[in-house]
Amino acid sequence: MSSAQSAQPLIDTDIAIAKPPPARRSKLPYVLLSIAGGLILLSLVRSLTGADDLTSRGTMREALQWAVPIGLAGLGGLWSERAGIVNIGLEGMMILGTWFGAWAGVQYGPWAGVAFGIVGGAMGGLLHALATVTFGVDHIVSGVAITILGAGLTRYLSGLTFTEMEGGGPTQSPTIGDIQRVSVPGVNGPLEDLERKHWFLVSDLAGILGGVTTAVSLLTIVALLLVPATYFALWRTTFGLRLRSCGENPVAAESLGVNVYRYKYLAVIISGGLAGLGGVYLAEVSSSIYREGQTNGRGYIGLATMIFGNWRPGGLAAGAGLFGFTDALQQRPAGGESVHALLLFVALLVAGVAVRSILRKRYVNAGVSLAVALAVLAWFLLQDDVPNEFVRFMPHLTTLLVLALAAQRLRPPAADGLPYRRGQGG
Amino acid sequence: VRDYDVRTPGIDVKAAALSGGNQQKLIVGREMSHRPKVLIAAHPTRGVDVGAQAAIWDHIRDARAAGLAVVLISADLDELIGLSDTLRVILRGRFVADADPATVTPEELGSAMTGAGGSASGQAAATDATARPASAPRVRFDSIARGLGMTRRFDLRSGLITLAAPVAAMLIAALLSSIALIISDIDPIFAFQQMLDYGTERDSIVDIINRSTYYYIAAVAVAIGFRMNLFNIGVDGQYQLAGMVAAGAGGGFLLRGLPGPVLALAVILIAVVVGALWAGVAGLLKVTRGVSEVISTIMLNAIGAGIVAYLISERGIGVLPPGGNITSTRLLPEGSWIPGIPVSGARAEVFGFVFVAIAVGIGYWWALNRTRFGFDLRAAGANAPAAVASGVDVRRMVLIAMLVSGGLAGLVGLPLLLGEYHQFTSEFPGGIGFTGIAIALIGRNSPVGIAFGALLWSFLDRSQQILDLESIPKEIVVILQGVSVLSVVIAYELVRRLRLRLEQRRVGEQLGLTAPPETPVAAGVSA
Repeated sequence: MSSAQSAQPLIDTDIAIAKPPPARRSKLPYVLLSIAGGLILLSLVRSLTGADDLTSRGTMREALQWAVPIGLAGLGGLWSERAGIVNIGLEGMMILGTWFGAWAGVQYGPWAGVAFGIVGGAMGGLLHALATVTFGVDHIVSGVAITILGAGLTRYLSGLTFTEMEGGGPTQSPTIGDIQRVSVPGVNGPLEDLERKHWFLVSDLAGILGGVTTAVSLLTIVALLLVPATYFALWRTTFGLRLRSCGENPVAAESLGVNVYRYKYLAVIISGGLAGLGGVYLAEVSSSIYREGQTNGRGYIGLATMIFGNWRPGGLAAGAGLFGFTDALQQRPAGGESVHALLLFVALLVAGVAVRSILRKRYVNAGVSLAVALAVLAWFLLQDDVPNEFVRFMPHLTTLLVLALAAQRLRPPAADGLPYRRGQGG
Repeated sequence: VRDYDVRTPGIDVKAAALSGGNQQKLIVGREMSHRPKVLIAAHPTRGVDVGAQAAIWDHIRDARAAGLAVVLISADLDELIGLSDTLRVILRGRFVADADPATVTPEELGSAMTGAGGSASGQAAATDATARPASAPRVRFDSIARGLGMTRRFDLRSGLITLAAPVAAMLIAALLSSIALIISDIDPIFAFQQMLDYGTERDSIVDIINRSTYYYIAAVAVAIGFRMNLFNIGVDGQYQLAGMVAAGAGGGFLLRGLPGPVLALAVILIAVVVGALWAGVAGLLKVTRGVSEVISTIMLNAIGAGIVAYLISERGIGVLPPGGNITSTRLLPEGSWIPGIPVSGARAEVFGFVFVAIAVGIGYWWALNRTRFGFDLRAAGANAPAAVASGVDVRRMVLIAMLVSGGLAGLVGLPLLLGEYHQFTSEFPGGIGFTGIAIALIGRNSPVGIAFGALLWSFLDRSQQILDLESIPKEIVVILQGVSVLSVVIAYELVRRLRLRLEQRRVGEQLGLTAPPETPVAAGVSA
């Protein structure tokens, strides 16, 4: 046998890793179908329970508003993890974003705030890159440390700056000017009329459209555009291919002349910048001041969103929408009622899963699903309200359930979170 | 090259360009070809395919028959048994077991190596086999084990380096916060002096010890997970839920009637069980569904906080004292309060629970270094594939580690509950779990290091209170704490690398090889 023969299988496996699964069909029809199905189910639940706020324009507007910061944090996580760096410091970078955004926003106007917030988050990212890439510190350890540091630094700086300003204090900033909001002209009136009719499906659609076409902040539009922009940059450019290769197999990337350190640095700095932008959004659009503890773990939820979305921008956006929706419900005055109605939605959905399991002859799964569905249904029927304390952790519970159901089908970047030293391939 | 069937395109190809198995064959061939008197072969067939493995084994057998003394060190137990005349198991530099290769099974050998069979202490094991010329030299096998951080023999130089790391990190943290103070026009020396004076008053010292009590337990809870690369970020939720449920049950009508000390024990037990169960959810999700414990414990924190908030409200089991606005559980009967230790010259008393914290520390040290559990835990953390290969059930270890970590987390709220508040209130201090993470990082997961970390953190917590009186923003201390955590972890990582390099050099010198900095040893350790 010659050496060429023994080397052959090695090369084959390398290619197999890089190749997408062969039988990959377009998932678009499937996705559209599930969205339509979910919508019909939601509409049905609304009609049955009379919880009209579930799909009202106000709820939808808030859902969008709460989805954006989570989605931005998730995008931040995506950039960093695609380059192989786990970024649990997103929360800290987001905190830096809220503070720097508010600090500059109060003094120089909202758009300057946006710029400073991004820079603030990116500085957190730089620190994370320094610790993980240059010094090889464990990614989670560094992330936790950065979150502690971010919270401490902003608290110190607030004490120094905001207390001196009128309307500010040690834990909050003065009011920041608004970013312009725009509406699609001519659709507001008709949609509002339709929504008031409370027709099955039609009014729900009107509510959703109304929520996302009227009084949308410009920053929201920028943030939404970042999703396709990220997809394009990471999956359709040479730069993106190289960046992702650093997350899949840095040794191979290095052997092809990619400067892995530089790409990792860039990715983590961009990641911090996106998290920072999410922070600014919280301070400037979701509310109009900086408050201590404003991020409230949204950086972590962003990270969960990214996992939920299987390290892809599309899934991430869907996840962010889901979390934004549950987040919005608890902010609404009729939140308890809406969440109570959602119990029925969940019960029906899980019952559907049970039916599917029976059809596929997976009787254990079916049994578990059926039991869960009945339990939720019983909760729905026996109580007529969900305590506010429970509403508050609905996004977290959803995250946990989704991960428990889907975690094994997920595929993170192959070298995600692993230490990498230049030249370690020998 | 021909004798050992090295597959290469040509004789002039550099060895480094060959595949791992072929490199291995080449090295074996090189060593055997100068007809040595003694051969020390460490993992001679690692990464070699089955055919070549048999060939290498044959070569070793032939050489032995010709009078060569072979010391064989291997992770492949079948290889050891098949090739050796005598088997010896070394634990911590001592021979602890002899075995006859003709009768021993791989399982028996493995249990001798982990210390489970007969010998109580589990440590890294190396096995050697001496051939007929019985005067085979004893080589310091522990250098290999030490490369994995497994031995504890004290080496003055590396000890100093280890100590230098946290000191340097603290200096950096102090420097950075001094700069922050100077920027805001405050004399840092004055600020630190004030803190030192205030922090060493008697009342302060009592307060520092009391804070350290719960910080220490929280940090140990985190550290147990860290030791096997398991991140229990959820200590916060675990201790709050545990404290809430334990206080509610202890003050409730079922348990109220119990005699004081029994009730106190019952409260402690309930807290431990609740904490363990809450952490167990994350452990179970990890081993059955593959959910990362980092995310799940963070989510469980939020869910736990929500449940606590509901339970403590009046719709739950909380009661609102007349005229008050903070809901709480019923007061625990006075008999169950854990008495404090009075200190002369101080108004406050030291928590009696401090002894529990000390016991936790000793128990942690003992479990980690003197039990099979601790060995498995550290092995799974240091090198999971190797641990699996030597029979550690990692899934089971994950679940157990999570349960133990959560159980300890359940204790965190109790010094305050049984020593000071005697009831759980909606204002019960939160965030101790996160501080625990920071302290575990500073203390590098060692029982003694964590104690220093907890005392330092408590000192900073306490002494910052004086700063407000001097109109210095006390938040500077939070920066100091944050920076110190980050610089400490970086310093430890740098030290780890430095020691690894020193170790490689030392091993190289001992084996008479001039090892280049990036030898396969480095790849083996970092992989």
